[in-house]
Amino acid sequence: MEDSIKIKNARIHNLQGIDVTIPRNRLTVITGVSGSGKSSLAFDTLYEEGKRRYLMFSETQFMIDSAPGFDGITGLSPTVAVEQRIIRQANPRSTVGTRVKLEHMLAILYANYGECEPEYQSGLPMDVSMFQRNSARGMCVRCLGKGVANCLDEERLFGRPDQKICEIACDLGKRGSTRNMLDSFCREHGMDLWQTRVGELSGEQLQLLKYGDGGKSKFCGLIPWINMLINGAVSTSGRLAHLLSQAGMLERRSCPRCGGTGLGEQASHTLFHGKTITELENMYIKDLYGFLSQYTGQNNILVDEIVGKLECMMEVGLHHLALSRPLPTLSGGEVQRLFLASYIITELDSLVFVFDEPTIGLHESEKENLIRIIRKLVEHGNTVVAVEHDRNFMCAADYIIDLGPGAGINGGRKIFEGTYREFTECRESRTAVYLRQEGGFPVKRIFRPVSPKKMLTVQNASLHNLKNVTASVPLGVMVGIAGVSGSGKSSLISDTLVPLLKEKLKSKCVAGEQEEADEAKKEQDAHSLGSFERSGTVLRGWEQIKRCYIIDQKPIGRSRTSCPATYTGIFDRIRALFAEAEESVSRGYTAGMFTVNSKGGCHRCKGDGVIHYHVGFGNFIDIECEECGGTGYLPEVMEIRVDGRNIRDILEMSVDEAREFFEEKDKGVTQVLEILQRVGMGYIKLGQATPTISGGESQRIKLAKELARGQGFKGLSNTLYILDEPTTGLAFADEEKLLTLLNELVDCGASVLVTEHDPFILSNCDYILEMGEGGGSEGGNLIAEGTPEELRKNTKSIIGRYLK
Amino acid sequence: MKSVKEVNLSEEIDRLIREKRYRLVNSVIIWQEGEILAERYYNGFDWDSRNVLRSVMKSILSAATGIALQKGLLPGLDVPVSQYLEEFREKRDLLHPMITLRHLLTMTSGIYWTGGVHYHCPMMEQLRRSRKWVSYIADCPVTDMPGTRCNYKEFDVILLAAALGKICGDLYDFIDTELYQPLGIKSGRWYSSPDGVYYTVSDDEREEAASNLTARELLALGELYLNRGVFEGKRILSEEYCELTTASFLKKDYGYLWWCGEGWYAARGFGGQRIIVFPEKRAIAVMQATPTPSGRAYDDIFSFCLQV
Repeated sequence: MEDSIKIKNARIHNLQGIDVTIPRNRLTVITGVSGSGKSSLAFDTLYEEGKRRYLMFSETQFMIDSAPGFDGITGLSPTVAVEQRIIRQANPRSTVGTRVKLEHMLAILYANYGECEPEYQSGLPMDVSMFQRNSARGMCVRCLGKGVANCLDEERLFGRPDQKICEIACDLGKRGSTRNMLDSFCREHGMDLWQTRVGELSGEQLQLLKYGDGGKSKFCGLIPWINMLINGAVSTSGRLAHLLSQAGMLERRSCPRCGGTGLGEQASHTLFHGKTITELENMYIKDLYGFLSQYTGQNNILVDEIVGKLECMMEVGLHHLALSRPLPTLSGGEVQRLFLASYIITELDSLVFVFDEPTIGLHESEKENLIRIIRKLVEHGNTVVAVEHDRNFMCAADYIIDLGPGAGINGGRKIFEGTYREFTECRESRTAVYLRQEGGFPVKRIFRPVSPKKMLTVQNASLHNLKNVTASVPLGVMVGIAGVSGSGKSSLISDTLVPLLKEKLKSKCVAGEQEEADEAKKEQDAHSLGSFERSGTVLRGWEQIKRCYIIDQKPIGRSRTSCPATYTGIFDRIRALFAEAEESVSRGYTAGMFTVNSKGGCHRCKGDGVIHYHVGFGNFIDIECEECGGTGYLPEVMEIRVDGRNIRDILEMSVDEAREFFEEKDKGVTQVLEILQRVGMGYIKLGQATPTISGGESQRIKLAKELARGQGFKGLSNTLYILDEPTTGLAFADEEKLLTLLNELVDCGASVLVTEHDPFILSNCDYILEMGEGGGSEGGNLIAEGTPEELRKNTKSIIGRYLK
Repeated sequence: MKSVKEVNLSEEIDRLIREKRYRLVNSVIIWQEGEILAERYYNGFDWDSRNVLRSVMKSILSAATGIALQKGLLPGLDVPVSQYLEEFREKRDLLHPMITLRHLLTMTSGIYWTGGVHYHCPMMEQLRRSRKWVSYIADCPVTDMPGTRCNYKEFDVILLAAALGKICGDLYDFIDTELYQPLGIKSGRWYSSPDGVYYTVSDDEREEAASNLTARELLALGELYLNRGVFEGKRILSEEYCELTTASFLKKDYGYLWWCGEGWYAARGFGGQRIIVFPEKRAIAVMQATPTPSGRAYDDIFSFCLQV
């Protein structure tokens, strides 16, 4: 076997015909600034080709590349990508447990070794499916396995005697199709929809109103009708359900039959050493491991097997999750490590693994462990290639490939290839500069003063694992939230502080369009607010905040064709510019011609530029659309040019290029592009498709959009920005840019709150709150707070020793 | 086509069952205009051998409901179930007040049910392990508006049996005195659930055994319906009730716990249990078999008999 993988003349995307050699059975890190072509090399070239060859060899399916992005690759083995994006297509019912098949193994354990409590003993044997909530044999019949039930409160719906019929259920009778049906129904039965009050109805009339007249008229009765509406049988908008739950008439609560287990009666009362299957699934993996370890080595191979799997999951740093945790709620880094765990469990060798920033979301202390595991994969005879920005990870690598020097058209060249030590000496690389720490990162030594009067305080937070935490966030400064995975950072900020702020500030709290449309999230928030009330969680000091921007990592835009240009709104301006061109005016083209979503889109590919063929097993191949040649536009649209460029050319420009291009042409566009540059997004293409934009990039584009929409940097006092790991996916150079921008925001009077692991960013905060000390049941406390300087000296702080 | 006289029907049935290798068929009776044309027994069965009923029991419950109506114990079929079953008064589902006896008889209660791929009834698993059957079913959500969708399920029949228990006193005693004795049927006391619901459809032979009937007893039930509620000169069911319940309701082939089609209606049980009535031909066919999923195929014997 060859001892290296050789890629010749790689030229996909912005790669400029580079040759690379990746040693086999070694750990190789690909570095470079964002947009320099790291992913194009690792994923779009190496992984895609490795996958293609393997699938062709195994004859499971065929794949065709429209145009290979390289001349040749030798020395390749079957290739596995451990990406972060998989989460977006996860089934909402899948959990950590189902993903690693542990849920199934526990079901087998209970079916064979569980003991039913005597009062529920039926004498009939229990089989595996009776412990699985996704099975018709096992699911709780009330909630059908969901564990939660929607409960309509009849008393609240009809209880008020002074409400008119049309006002029942949040004015349901005043709107849409309900109005007409209900109106004629009321007249038929001697009631007036608009005038009659509920208290004036006879018992019989009220019964008719609730349950209909047995099919004599078209209306089925309010209760079945409301039921149909909230269950989405008539429309899927969820509007009524939302209104009713706000009004307290509809409650989503833990299922009264199974108490939330989602399982049947016997299964819910079958114990393994005193615990139910649901209790085990809700334990943190670390605690579950501790519990089951007591029963290993007792000739129960099932327990041994389960414990073995749990051990793998702890090794990759997932000790703080429970098996019942739904997959869609995991962070990208956690998903990646979950997949990593399942590969470790299978113990294959001679594979090529491609990782996308595996250290994301990990505390400094956890990174060391991850590096150890990845090294173990290498020792087992695998080849690991990782795209990474983390310094320690680079240190641990056997081989480094640096791409650059810049991003987009300014990148795509190979700057360096060799060992870490040689790399630090490399003068051309923008990454190596920071590794030598010369000129590198300015670390703050003077901190902005914290005023005890200007505080935003969360009192008695006890959501998830939080242990009655009271935390004060100083305003007018830059505050970092630190802590190991699962220590309660997100529970405190995203799940407690943010919903409370939203409730108080209402429309002055901006959480992005995506969030606005997310009914499930709203419902969850409403649910949380209820639990805050019960636990006495309150927010103080919010009156000092006028506006709040929550900037998360969810994808930007909703449609396939959304891109930075459409999301930031500059595309409307650009289209108008094209519509104003002389040729457009004479041909009668309007702005609508310049979007693929409207008149101007290619009819065959619907503006995608490629035709999508399904080749089985969930795999697709994309073939460039012949009709439009991959542009997605009608050919006549492409004939219109502004300053020599057609609309597609514009979308292919990076923000940096576009900024120059529009300089004299459009002030509005230029301004937005400038802000995009300042958040470090100068390299991104205006037309880059949403699915290829990483979470970190999405977040920075959102930040830019909010900055552009507001008054820019003016009048920022009393504004709060909340960011979740904004450095995800950023190279040192871009990180520094972002840090400068955040500091500028604070200088202009804003408050910035960042959840972060990155020691550089944390060292540059004015104040740090640290959660800990462990994850899951061992977390949930505020263990230290103060300036970075103070934390360095604080022996209770874990992050302190990593601060610069 | 040959006339009945020219063919020896018994020999033909024997031949068919042998050729088709229907080894689990235990009895076949073909009856027309008061005369048994063929009566065949296999596998050591005889005229007094008893065989499981399975879902034929559903049609017997339909008859029992008709008798309760006839005797004035019931004001009508549109009475809400909640009137008899207190679990349905608690409004565990807000649609419970809408469910009537008619819905139970026609499989249209709207209560959630999934029959599984081959109607192996996964939802019966937990029910069989519970002590309160009615309460268990009252916990299931109503996912279809009652009366709008026919979904063949055990739950509706169990609820009907439970309601009849409240209406008629002891349901078994009621059926025995009012239906079985006039028809000359002898049955053991039916199996009942821990909360006292008589329901014999089961995979467990021991639970079923007491309710087993002979082929001739099934024939008597067929005669009662063919004669529109009269048996040996005595009226047991009203004519209208027989008409109503053996004609289709929401689904083309299903009435009130009776299956129906062009020129026939039938009580059918899993694995080849059949009472098929052909009112125009004034004929009845009865079959019993040891239950097996392939029992559905046996109906071709009757299509043959119909031709001759």
